[in-house]
Amino acid sequence: MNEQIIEHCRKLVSDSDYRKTYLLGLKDKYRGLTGYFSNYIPEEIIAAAGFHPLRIIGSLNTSGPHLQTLFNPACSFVQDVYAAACSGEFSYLDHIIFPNSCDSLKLLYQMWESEVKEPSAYTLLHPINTDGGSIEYFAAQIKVFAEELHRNSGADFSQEEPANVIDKYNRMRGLLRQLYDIRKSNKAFLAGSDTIALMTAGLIMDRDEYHQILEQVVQEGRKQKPQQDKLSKNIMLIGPLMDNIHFLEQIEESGATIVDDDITNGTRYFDRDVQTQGDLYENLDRRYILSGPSPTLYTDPETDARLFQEKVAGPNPDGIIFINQKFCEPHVHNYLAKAEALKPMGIPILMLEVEHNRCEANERELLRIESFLEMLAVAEK
Amino acid sequence: MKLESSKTILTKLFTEYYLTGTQAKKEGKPIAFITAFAPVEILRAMGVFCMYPESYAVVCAASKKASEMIHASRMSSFTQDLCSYSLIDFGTEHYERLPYGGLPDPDMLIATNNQCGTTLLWFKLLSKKKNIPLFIIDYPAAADDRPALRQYIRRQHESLVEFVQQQTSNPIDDQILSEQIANSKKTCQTWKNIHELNKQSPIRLSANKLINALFPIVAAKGTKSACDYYEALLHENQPSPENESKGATRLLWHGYPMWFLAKKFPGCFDTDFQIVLDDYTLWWDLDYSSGADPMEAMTKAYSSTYLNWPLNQKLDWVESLVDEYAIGGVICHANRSCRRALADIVPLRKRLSKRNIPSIIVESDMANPDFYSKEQVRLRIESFRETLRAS
Repeated sequence: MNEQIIEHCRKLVSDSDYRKTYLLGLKDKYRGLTGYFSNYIPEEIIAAAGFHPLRIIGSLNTSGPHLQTLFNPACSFVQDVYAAACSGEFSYLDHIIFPNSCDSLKLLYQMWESEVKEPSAYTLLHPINTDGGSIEYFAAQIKVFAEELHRNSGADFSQEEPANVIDKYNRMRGLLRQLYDIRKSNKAFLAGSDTIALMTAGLIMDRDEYHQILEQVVQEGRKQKPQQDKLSKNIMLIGPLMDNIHFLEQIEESGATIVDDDITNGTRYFDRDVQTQGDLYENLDRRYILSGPSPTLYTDPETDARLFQEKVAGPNPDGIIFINQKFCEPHVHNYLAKAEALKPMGIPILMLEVEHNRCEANERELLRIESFLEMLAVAEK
Repeated sequence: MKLESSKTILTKLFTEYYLTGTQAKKEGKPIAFITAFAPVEILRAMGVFCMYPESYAVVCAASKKASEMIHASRMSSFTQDLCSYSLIDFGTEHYERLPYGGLPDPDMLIATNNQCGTTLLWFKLLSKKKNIPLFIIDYPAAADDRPALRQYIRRQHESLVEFVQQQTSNPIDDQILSEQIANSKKTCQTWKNIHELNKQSPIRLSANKLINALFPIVAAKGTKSACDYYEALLHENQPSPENESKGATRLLWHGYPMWFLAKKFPGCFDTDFQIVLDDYTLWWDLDYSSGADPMEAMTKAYSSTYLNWPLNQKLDWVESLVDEYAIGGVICHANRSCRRALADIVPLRKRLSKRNIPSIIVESDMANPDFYSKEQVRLRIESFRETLRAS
């Protein structure tokens, strides 16, 4: 595996200075840089307007008494982003797009408007229901969003450009699915933490470059013969955004291999493509609203549980680690639902609640991980 | 004819609410659990008896049972940061000494996100646990000048009618719906008028009394009894020349009260400093003025709740209260149960500071006394009073 590629991805995700330098280098290629949160913002629309879509992830190094903070219990991801924003971390962005999502992000949006101010913020008011009326409403919202972005960028508004961009993003999602499939038969090909670093870097990187990287990695993966498994426990990772790659490395160093995931910056990002026939906006809206169930959207709980069980049954992991950002309320509820769904499957689950701005697992968390893995080993005997 | 006193009507309303719920269950009438800002008028017009778990959580907190019930919820330690209303509700399942014997089991759940996202998560979990059908109404923002949003919300209200019909086979009675809307409109107007009595000095109703008068507008809005209650309350509190607490510094409490405290607010009850208003009680003053069409009126009323407003609208509104009620200082309650309500505190204090109006933050919770540090709050309020004395 090309170590340079992985190192580049790791640094884009974990080193905010490296990320910033890289993104500043893209300024000339695009009409601007657009930050966005969550999996409900159609990146294709941003890209079609000539902007580079950049998923906002954590800064991971923003702790310090001098920094501005939000009240607890705003989730620790939002706290981290707010502290970074107040210290000018996002000044290189042209604008930032918020979703109609959890209360912590709504709190951040209002604080952004009031305290951060620049770059200017926009909220895409997507629906939280997924029925026919919601889909119709969202399609109209995406169209308004597209028009607003085009006005902002000055780019020509055509149906052709979005179609090209959709095709590019579909191919990218397809390559990510192939990468995850390769790991299913050859998990030693790429460490789980590196896979998530590679996946997450794609939310930041120039998508043309990313596409080439993915093609190269997938090609290498196809060529490589399955290697002997390490004697490690197969773990599936669940939760919201998990961009602390070092934390994931620590899990794997403790004797686990992350074989699959159900996280925001993992399979939930690429599990569905945009249809290319029919109305552009409706196709986009179906892709975004109907992809993997999320706790901030309302989908039928029974269907959610069944889909989750099917998702877990595939890799059939020895155990599941649910990593939640401290004070992330939707994912506490998500955990309760997932733990319930796992009961009949007999798969143990460990819940870790972490501070987003911490770079590594603390002693207590490591101890809990080790105990969990040990328990899985005993259960096997 | 002698009018009933507000106290008599309130007692009746309160007792009837709990008794009717139990009775309705026995008689097989449909019961819905709904969130605080759900369009109750539709449900009543379809013969559904509506109960408010949030209001019940308030009763539990005021009965000093919140802490025990939250512990009884048997939720894991990491869930203790969730909304205390929801934790109290989860506690009802495992707690024996429930006030009023608890709420009857509902036949359906209706949740909205015009106050917070928590209620959706809470009702979703409840729906899954108890296998009860759930209907969610999405109010992405105040729909005032956005036709597409108004249309989206209106359609959801129409879908709610279909959902309730599927659950109960009851059709909607348009006559009852119109009456409910008219009553809601009148109730909100009277409630606002009652608050306005406190623009004068001395105030007619303490903030604590206003809090105690909140139940009908929360749980019986749309009914004639709620209208009668507020009419009586307004009638009983017409201004009269009194000298009590004249010259006191008038304070605004910004945000949720602390239901577990006997007087709902800590301190500030002496003659020098007086909380004349808690803006939280005015969050229930919804605007039903949008035309004669009931569906249109509800679209406006329920999308434009305080917690769904954009930041500047919130700040302008609170600032207008500060002016109208001649407020000399503001106490902001940073309620850890409500993330949505935290957003305006910092910008509000900045605005107030520009006008030399002192403000303070008190960090606690609306219902969970475990997050209330009496000594810390006392010290903060004492220091605030010193600032006010000096200003």
